[in-house]
Amino acid sequence: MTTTTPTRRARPARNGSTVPGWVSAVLPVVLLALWELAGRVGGSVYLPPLSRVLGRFARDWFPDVVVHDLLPSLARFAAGFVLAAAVGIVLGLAIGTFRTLDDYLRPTLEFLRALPAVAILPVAVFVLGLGNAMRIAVIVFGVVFPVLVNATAGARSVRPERVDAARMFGLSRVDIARRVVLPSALPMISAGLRVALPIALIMTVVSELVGGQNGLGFYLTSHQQMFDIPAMFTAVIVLGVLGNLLNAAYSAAEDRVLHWARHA
Amino acid sequence: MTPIPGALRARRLAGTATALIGAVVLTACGGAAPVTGDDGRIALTMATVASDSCAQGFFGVDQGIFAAHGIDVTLNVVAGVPELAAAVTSGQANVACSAPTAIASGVSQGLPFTMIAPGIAYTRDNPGSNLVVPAGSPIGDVADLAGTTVAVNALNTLPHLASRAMLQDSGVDPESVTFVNLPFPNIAQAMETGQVQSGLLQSPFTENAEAAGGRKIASPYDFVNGGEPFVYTVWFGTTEFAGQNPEAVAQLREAMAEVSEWANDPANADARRASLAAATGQTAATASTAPLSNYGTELTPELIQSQLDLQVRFGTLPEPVDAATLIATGTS
Repeated sequence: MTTTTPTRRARPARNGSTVPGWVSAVLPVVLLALWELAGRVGGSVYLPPLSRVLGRFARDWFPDVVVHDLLPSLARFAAGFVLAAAVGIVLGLAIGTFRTLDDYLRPTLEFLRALPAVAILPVAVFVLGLGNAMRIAVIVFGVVFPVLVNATAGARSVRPERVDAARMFGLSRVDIARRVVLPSALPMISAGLRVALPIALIMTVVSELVGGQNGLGFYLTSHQQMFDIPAMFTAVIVLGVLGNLLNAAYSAAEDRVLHWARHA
Repeated sequence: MTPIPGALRARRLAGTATALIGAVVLTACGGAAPVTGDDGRIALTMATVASDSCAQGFFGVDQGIFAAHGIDVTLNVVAGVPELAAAVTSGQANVACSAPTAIASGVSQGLPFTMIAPGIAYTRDNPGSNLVVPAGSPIGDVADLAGTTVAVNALNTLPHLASRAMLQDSGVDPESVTFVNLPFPNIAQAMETGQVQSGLLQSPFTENAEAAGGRKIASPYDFVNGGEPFVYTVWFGTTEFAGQNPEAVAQLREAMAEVSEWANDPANADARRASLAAATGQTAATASTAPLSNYGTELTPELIQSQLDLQVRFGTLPEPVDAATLIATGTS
């Protein structure tokens, strides 16, 4: 393994910008300060000051809302994401490897892929009821296609000579898929998973809007119905922070697992 | 792309941020202006949903009753109840129809709502809302509901609270029953597929469910005010609107009372059904069979208070609220 020494030339400021890194923190801080100011000066009930929202967060969320709503949402999110990732990767690799399978499945998958994922919600309620099965199915439907499409493209991007070489060594088709195609496709699969991550969060909230008992989507709508605006804002903030945390965690994991891909 | 110098970019960002926040604040502070023109006529935008529960707007326009009272009404039909409050808070409508419980929740959260005129009134012989079980259900009465799932159209609103009161007053622990929120059109299917064992329905969904073999087993609204009448939809606006337009409030109140009297008169049932069918897109057959609601003609604290007490009882209002403080004064 080679190590690279960072130099000014090798690592310019991000995107060629000459602005130092801390500048990117200015806008969020300014926006939050303006929110606080607008809330205090405006005195509007529709825009409570940030400090009031945070106070509400500290008062209500630990542990009640975390246990009652956040954890169930995270469990659904994780179950839906993992299931969709497994289905998307296996099916995507198979389609990318076997041309016949592609011919059979493509029209159906293209049709399903074009469906807006939220449109599946009313259908899922009828077919699967109001429990977790319905909610996880809705998340899977939203997440599976970006993973599947990227896995397919990843499998197709494998250089034919690698496959030929593996075949010459007598590897079976399944072994070739597992030991040659999958590693080559991993960077693209990972890109698909990264795209799917925020979709999974969106679909988690959407799935909890109907017939809900708990979850962040349920919390959001039930407080909307009671005009509890600070509580609504706490959920919005939590969802924003959660989205960013998940993305950062995924990036960190990707860096550890796929660091080799950058030098491949 | 040519890099933008740091200082210039920072200024642009600050400018954009200020504009965004300004837009939010301006939207949030949408003010109410006087609605009486120089010619003395009142121009009102009313938000409503296309259902019998808030249909006075349609009748008043169709029968020319608002116009006769010097009010030119523009109707703004929205999809669901949450949008009604949004229409008023955003300034898209001067008044809208909603439930007193929703108004009380909003006011307890600091929203500047005030009630202006009554909508539907409960009477024991016309309860409006019924608990329905599907064909072949083993549930015979309220006591059988323990351990089952009941669908309501929104949690923590009157149908839900009244159902909890009904359970408690009938000796059933409300905690033993699971309530889920589903839109009215979905409740019947959810019952048929066994996802819920009963549902709280209003007309015309009650009649549709009965046509499919469903049975009414109770009317939870009987437990709101001891079987005595109360008003469970109201026309409301912001306190700012009511404060700036006391004459308009008084005029609207008079006009709405006349609309209610017209609508409650059995002689006008056919005209009322025709208006409702046109407004809701119901077929003539459905509109002709659905029982007609009874509208209130006056709005007194006594007709509201029991619902607010129910909210306190089940914790959706933090402390007792005097209904009189939620009703606009107006001048007559």
